[in-house]
Amino acid sequence: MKKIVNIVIFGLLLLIFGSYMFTFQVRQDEIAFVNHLGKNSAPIEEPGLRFKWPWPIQHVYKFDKRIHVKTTRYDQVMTRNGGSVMMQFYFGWKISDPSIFMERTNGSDSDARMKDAEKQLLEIVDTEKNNQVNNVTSSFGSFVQGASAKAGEKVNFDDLEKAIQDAAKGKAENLGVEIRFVGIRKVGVPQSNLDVVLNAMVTQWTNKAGTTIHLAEQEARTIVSKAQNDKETAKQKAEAEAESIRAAAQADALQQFKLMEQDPKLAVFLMELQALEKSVKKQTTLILDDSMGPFGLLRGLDKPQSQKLEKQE
Amino acid sequence: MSTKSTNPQDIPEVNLENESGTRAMEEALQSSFTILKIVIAVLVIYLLVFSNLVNVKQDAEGVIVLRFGKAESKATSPEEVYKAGTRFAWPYPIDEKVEITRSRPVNSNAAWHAAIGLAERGDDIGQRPVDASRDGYAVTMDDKIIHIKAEMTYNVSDPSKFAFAFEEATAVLQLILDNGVTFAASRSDLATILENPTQFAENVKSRAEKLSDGYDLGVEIERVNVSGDDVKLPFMTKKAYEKFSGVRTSVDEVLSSAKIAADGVRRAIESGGVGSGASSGDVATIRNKAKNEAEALRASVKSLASRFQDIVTKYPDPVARRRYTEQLYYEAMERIAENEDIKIYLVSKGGKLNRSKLRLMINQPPPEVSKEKEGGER
Repeated sequence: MKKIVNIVIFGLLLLIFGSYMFTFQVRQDEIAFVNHLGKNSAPIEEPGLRFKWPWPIQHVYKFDKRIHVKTTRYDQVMTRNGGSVMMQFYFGWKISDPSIFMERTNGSDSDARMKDAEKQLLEIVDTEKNNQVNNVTSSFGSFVQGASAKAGEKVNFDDLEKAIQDAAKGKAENLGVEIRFVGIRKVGVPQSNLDVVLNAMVTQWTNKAGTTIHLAEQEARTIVSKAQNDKETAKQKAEAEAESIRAAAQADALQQFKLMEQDPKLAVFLMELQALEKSVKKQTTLILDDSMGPFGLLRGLDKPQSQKLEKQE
Repeated sequence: MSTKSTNPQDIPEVNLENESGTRAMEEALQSSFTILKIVIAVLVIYLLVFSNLVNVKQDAEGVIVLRFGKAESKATSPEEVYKAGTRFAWPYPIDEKVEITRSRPVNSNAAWHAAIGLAERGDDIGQRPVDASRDGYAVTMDDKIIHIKAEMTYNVSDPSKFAFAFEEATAVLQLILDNGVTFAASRSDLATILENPTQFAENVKSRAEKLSDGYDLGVEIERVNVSGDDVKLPFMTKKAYEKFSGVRTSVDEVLSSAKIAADGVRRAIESGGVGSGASSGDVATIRNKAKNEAEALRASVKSLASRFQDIVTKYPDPVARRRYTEQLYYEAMERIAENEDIKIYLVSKGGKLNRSKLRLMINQPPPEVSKEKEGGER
């Protein structure tokens, strides 16, 4: 019994190690090459379990045939007018011709070859990105769709992405690779222009705020001033009305005064007397000389006042 | 002290085979090996069976099992992949399981500013410039710079494409979202993005859907979230924008107070307007004052005329009338003199050559400058 168990364990171990040494698996998203004493086989694209001789007789290269994505550096790209714009792109690529890919890439293993392919593709896309951006853009403003951008210079994201993809296509095919898509990740302005843009934003908003407030204050002054004018007009109208009321009263008074023409002095006397009594009612200080009114008596007896008046008449 | 040497030949030979301790040790080792074998067997069974079992949550997770690297077409249909339950796979290289999360969010920080560290004392965050090498931002249609971050939730509709067509589909989705933010910002003005981030998010979603379909990712974009907190102006422009955006309120306040003032002025006019019947207001005051004055004038003149007529009737003789007026005069002076509220000062009139002069000291004289001080100033 003990012997059987030992045989089973040994058999299992042999199966495990043997499967690793003599077989390899190709997944449905992989491509494999069997290198037999330095010579590559035809690409194996069908998924399944395969037989191989152990190293150093045979060596297997396996590549991921799915779409890989890579981003370019976020750096300056020259525009047609000698300006520059900061841009970052991404692109998706996949192995289209495994034999060419195996032939045109270098590396000791699959990972090294994939990295080499990525490096070469990055150079291709970088070059085409520079060419196409330089062709279609005149300035940074070409990437924004505002009114400030001239009609013919507006950059259509889709067109630019497609143009770069098409331009890089031929070079990528030489590498056994297909570029499936190219996209814009970021667009910006170089640091030197960035400060200018930010300062322009601050200045524009500050000026706009000042102008808006100024215009509002002007409008407010106009509103108040119009109301004041209306008030003045109404007051002038009222003053004119008041004058006519007073004039009517004075005309009535004049009629009364005409009746008093038979003794004008008496009329004047009565008016003065009335005015005097009205004006010295409360908290009044009168400074009189001793010849005035009844205070003349303080200077001694004289002719009676009535006699003086008669003499004057 | 005496020493006694021991000869090795004198030591009696020990028979280890018969030692009971050794036997016990041998038994213990045997039982330990048995336990170890059982543990190894359990571990092997666990590794073979249980480590290859996967529990799939309904509509949240999915699994595709590859047999010798290939998935059966039936096994990659969404219904089969997302079916709830337990899946079993043999160990590699026979089977391999590919797990898929059905719905997940991805975030875009490409247009967001770098993290703000601890501010040094005296630092003004409002003066922090944008660093092109560290800070992300988007450029708007009206040439403005703005920091934006977004979150996009996707749903894997075609698990086969998602898992086997792309090395890292999530990374592609993130780049699509970055593209969407950059694209949508270039077609929106700053005010729209700040005031209506939801609309901006819709524009981003629309772009992301277009790209996702174009790249054939096998996903559906469920939603893109851009909240008010996900949109931020560069720090150094913030104060200027706050001032600018607050202007509308200030303008409303200025115009509103002007209208109130104007209404007040108009009310003052209208309340005394013709036919209004009101007795307040500037116009009414003017008119009432004039009416009162006119009434007073009429009354005064009427009273004067009446008094005049009475005197003339009563004293037709001018001399008698004159005497009567004198009487009236003295009576008036008497009334004035008797009034306690009236002070009367009598001043001697003086002669023609030596007229009396009256001097009223209204103000105190200015203080005299001392001679010492005067001398010092010189």
